Amino acid sequence: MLVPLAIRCFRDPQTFAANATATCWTDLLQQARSLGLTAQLHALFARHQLLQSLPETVQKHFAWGWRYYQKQRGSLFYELMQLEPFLGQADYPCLLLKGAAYQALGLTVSEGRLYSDIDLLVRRPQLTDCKDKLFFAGFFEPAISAYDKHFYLELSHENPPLYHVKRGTALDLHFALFPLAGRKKLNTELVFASASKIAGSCLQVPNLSYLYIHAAIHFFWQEEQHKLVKDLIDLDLLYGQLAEQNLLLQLLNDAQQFGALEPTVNTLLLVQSLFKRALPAEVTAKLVNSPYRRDVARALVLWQLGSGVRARLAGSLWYLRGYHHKMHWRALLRHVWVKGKLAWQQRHQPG
Amino acid sequence: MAFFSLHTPPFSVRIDTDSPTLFNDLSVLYPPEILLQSPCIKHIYDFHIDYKRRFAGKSRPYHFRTGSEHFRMADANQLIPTFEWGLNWCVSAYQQQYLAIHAAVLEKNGRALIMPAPPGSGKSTLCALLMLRGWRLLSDEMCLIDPASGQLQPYVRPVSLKNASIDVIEQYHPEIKVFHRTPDTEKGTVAYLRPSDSSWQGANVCAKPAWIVFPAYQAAAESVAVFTMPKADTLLYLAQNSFNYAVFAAQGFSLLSQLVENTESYRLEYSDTEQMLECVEQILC
Repeated sequence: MLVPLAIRCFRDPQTFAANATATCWTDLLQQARSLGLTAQLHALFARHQLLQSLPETVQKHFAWGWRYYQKQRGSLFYELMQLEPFLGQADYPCLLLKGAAYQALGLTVSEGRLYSDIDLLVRRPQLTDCKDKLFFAGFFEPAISAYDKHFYLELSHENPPLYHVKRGTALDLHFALFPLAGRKKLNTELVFASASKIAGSCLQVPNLSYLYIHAAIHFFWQEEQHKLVKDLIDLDLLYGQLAEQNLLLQLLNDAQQFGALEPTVNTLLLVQSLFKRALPAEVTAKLVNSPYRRDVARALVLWQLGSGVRARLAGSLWYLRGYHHKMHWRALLRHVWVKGKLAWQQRHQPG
Repeated sequence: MAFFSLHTPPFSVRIDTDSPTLFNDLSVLYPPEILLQSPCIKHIYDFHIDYKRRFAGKSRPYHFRTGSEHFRMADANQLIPTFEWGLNWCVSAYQQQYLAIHAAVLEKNGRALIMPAPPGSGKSTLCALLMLRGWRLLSDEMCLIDPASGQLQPYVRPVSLKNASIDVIEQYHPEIKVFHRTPDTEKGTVAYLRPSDSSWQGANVCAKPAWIVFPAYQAAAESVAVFTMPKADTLLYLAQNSFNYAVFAAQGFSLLSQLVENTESYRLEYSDTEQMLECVEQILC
């Protein structure tokens, strides 16, 4: 199996740097730019104190990426500061998710990681009130069709995206971690129970377990193919911090209670095989004997990391499988029917 | 032809194409020490460009891509303009080493002239004519400011001429050959001028900024009129026309402030190109 350069690099940066040819570096810089990983590579080599020993051109590109990341990180903190006075009035928990949460906690995975939007989680009954507060902070919801609105609120796991009227910042307001149409029976209340306050802020963050579980769900139960490498690197870095803090058994326990053991087990197995991580014996034993192992699904991931016909075929199957997870077949059929009908009506309406 | 490479300081590019003509077409614009028939095995390239047909068939367009990012498609007769625009896109979108402004830059006697201006203002025409009068071309498209020194880094590439400016150059310099005249592009007819030998020779030599001139061709205006630009206006215009001012944040503001403080800024309205050139050289030199 041909492992992508970026994964080989994160697996063992020292060996990679020692053996990489000029062509290899050119290809890595290219991959990193496409995946938005340049600044993360800068952080990786800096953590391993290898930055100064890298070829000059590589250092130059990493510095480009780092400069861009610093600007993004500044913008993210600025946006969070702008939210404080409005969400500070809320008498319910508002949790940061994904990139914003990694950054707020200062996790290793946040070093050099770019973000495209801010993800916020509130309980479903508080969604409208939170939206009202965000409205006064300058966020608005662009007009969408009645069906799309229904889709977001009843079948998805978030409100339609909100945008800041002046700065254009995108904000996703979640009320669950996974689309409701997937009928996964996930206990979102446990995420709130795990959360802790960010010092000096009204915002909260889920604990490390739930941050991993969330990343695992969005990796293993979805259809997207273009971010697989980036998501795997996120998972590996989150895994690293869980392992450091001896929280892997806690992770499996949390995943079971939450209802997402399948993505957690399989992403851990992928991290183990792709990044050559030595999992603790008791964790390995649990993974080996787990009824939630999905060998075919993991094979599809590995095949997609390659190229050619097999990768394309695996990608197509992954796409179908992702939708199967995100939408129960009855919801999917109804969705396809309604969207098709609306598109037909739009094309054939008079005038 | 599969791989070849382009070494235009400060950036190098590896190109993978299935076009049988692209390399030869580029070889009339770039000298052989810049455009290499095969990439150097020991060189790490800044950008890899994929410029291929995605499906077989002579009428199929070429796709200009870097990594997974698609820039644009080009018919076979528009390969060169799309290549040149694509290269500009790579640099303007991804490099964060220099503060980059959309402007032409030339140098004479160690002092550099920056010409930021919107399309249609006569920037490229003026740039080409000054180069043909002995000024060293640093770039006709991108002013790269080194944040460490405040000096201007050359990025020498062929001068892109559009529509009427092609005729102006041919009228003033009938001895100069204009290459790859391509009609019906999205910018109208475009053609390219080779940088002068001194420009290629100085491709690694930075220059100190001395003047900022905003040219504005106005057919109905006086033959030439020069106005001093307020420094605050100049700074705002440069910031608005920068590709990465926001990324440089406070350092970007400081760099532009220094640039504007240490240079003279003018707005130059003209309808007579010959008089305008004389005026420019008189004021600046």
